[in-house]
Amino acid sequence: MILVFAVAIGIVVAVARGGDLHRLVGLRLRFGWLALLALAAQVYVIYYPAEQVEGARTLHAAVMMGSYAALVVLVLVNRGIPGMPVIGLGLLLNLAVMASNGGYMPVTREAIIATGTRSEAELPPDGARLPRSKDVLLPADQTRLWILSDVITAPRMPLARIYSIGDLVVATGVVLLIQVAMVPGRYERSLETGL
Amino acid sequence: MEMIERGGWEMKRVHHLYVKVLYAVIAIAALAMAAGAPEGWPMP
Repeated sequence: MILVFAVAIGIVVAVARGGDLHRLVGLRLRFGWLALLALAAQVYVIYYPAEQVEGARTLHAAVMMGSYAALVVLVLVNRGIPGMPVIGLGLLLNLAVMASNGGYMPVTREAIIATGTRSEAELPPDGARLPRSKDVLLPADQTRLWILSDVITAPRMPLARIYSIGDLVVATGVVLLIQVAMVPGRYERSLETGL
Repeated sequence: MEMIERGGWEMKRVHHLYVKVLYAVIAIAALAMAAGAPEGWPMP
């Protein structure tokens, strides 16, 4: 939910800084439909029947990686928009750890139990996918690029979750993107001058 | 008549404006949700 909060917080902060929601119309987000396509692909993977996820593992990993490839294209095409390079960096951090661990975001059993989102009894064995998520359950010593996986636990937040460094970078980029899109300033000057 | 036509045009313009704003917000939210991968997403 941190990523949905980032959009809401970005809008609230921008309005507090004198920004206008209508200015989002001026945001030249090319290929924005790729974001919707990527999200739709991921929703398919995440909400696939929980008892069948292991059977579709290879297909789902390919769909998941394909959706991230679409997002990389979206970020590259829009790299001139301030905030987009930061989102791109977070995206690549998540992509790196997911691609090196079979196409899913690794998370440890201990981290999930610490946040209280699922009990020990609800968790599958190590190496299995977590139903209704992008995650795979892996011990830290079996996780490649472990530091980039879901390691940041937030049990005291209203919606307890486990985040990766990439998630926080994406959230920062989203807040930044909304600021430059809604608050008058540098962004439209760069559009006017073509720089 | 001209007033009505102008009013209709203004309504259409406002309508398009809100659709564009909504599209931008949805696209940014979709990008954020798809780029990130917090455990439990997107469960409530």
